[in-house]
Amino acid sequence: MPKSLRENEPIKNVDPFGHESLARQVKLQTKLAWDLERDLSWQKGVDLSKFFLPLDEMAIAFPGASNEQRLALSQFMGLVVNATISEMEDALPRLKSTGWQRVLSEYPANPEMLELGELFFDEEAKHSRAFGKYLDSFCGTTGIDRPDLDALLPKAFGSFFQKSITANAVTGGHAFWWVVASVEEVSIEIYQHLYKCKDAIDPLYFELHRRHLEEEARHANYAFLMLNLIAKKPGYLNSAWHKKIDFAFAQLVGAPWVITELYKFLRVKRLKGVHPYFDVLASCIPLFEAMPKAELVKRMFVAAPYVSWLLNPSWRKQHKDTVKKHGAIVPPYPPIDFDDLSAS
Amino acid sequence: MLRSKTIRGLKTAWLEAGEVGRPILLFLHGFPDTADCWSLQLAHFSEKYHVIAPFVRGAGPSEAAAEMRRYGPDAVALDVLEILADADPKGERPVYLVGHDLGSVHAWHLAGLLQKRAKGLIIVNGMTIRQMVGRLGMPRQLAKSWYMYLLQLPLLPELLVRGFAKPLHDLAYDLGGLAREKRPTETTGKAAMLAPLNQYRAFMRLVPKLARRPRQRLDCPVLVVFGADDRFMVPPSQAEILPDARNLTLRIIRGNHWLHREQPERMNKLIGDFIAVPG
Repeated sequence: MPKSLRENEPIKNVDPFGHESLARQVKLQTKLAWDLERDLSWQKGVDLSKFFLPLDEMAIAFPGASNEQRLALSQFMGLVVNATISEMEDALPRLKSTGWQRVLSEYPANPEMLELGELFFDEEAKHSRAFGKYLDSFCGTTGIDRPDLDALLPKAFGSFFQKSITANAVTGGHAFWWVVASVEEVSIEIYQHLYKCKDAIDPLYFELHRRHLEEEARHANYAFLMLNLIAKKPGYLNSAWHKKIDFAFAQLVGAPWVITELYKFLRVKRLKGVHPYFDVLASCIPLFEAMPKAELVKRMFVAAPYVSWLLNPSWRKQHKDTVKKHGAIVPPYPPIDFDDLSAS
Repeated sequence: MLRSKTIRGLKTAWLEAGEVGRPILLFLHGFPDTADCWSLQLAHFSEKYHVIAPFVRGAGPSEAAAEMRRYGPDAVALDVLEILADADPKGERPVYLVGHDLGSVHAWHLAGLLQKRAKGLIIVNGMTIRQMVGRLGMPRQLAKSWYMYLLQLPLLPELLVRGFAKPLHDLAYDLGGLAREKRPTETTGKAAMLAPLNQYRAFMRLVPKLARRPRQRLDCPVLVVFGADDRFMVPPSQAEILPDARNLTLRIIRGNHWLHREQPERMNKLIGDFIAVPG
């Protein structure tokens, strides 16, 4: 964790019954909350000569890409990440009642868990607006309309994924919290990668993720707090069943969504000629088309920048303990050879 | 100071401290305890409050009753109301109630009877009558309350207590996870268990009647503090307990069944903060 974040004393494995530490957390989050308009330098605009996301040791997903294509792909992945976080965080309030308020009312919970939850949902709504605003800035820089950009990027609302997670929550499940926990954990990882090469990153993109991560680092454990609380609930038939399967359920409905949403990238052909950026991006399509489909899917699970972190839980360290506490079923995933990745 | 008076034909005792005239802070013990289990609270609060801790029917110096109904919640409430009348004959002073374990059932019931005079209620690892009745259908609570069913047997519990009072009393504390050095030393197992075990029998006999009672929603502020690691009771959820009072705060903390003995400073602070600014 970079020093700037450590200074904010992020919560680590806070006990859902430790009301004193939860109360401190409420104070800290309230005090250090940033303002979407005031605390971000929107006037900087987007710098298209800079990377959005670093394509480092995992660049094996795009082995034949030129430097120009790598820059465009990095920027596209950056937009995908922004859109994904924005979509997920926009979806959160829709599940607030079934996925949070109802759950919390059924469990032994301190008032601070409620306060922290309210703050969490407020912050997530703000983050969604901030990432959406960055996408607006990108549209301003490239001269396209937002709906045209959105057509290339992940959309959760109305998807089978979103409907499945909602249905799971309505039937008393907690797949929702597994999804939130994975997005939060991955977003922290992403920032750590950005931090390593921040000079090469678009300053506004970096600043947005830094601000986002300041708050995520402070409340990142809320999803895990909820999962810990749920793990402590006595296991009657329905809750025992959900503890067992919800993690696998979240992964199994999430993976097809991530993969199919990424395929929207192919629609970039329509934007050829609108801005040079889209021309370069469209020139990357043959790189994908040249790769056998099975190999492409496998790479998405083990070596695609950032995508693999979401798809393959082997990447996510913090999940492992929580999965154990729930006694959750973990679907089989392709193994990751970290040595092989570093060598590449 | 130990005091007693005859209430409806039976000697009834209580511990009392603090200046008469101050707000009353009433502590009600559970099973297998006596009023002595509140020693760490009585010493702390007697500086600012008129503290009273009754021995429930048959516990310690309170005389045992021959009739089972004298152990039920209504009868215990009437006994305590008499004690309150002794402490505050005009019935003008505010009363704050603290109940632990079965004492919570009595405290909750009393708070309802005292109406506007009850200024605050603190429940420490305990339940309401409605919860106790409701939990008869909760498998996990049933498993944790195994002793409650054992105590329904005729004679056997009395024989066991007469023969093995100390080991059984120690066993209860051991099972509850209360360290030896934190246990009240003034109470003997026999005084805490032999007659008071009838409270469980009285409760079970009253279940059909209690189940028909309409839900009573308390008007006074309520603080429920529950040790998350209680081995005799399942911590309540917000949904289970919030409908029982208009202004209720549920606080789950790390700890066992005897929070007031295990963490006296923390509990005294929680109680003190709550009654200093009730609601």
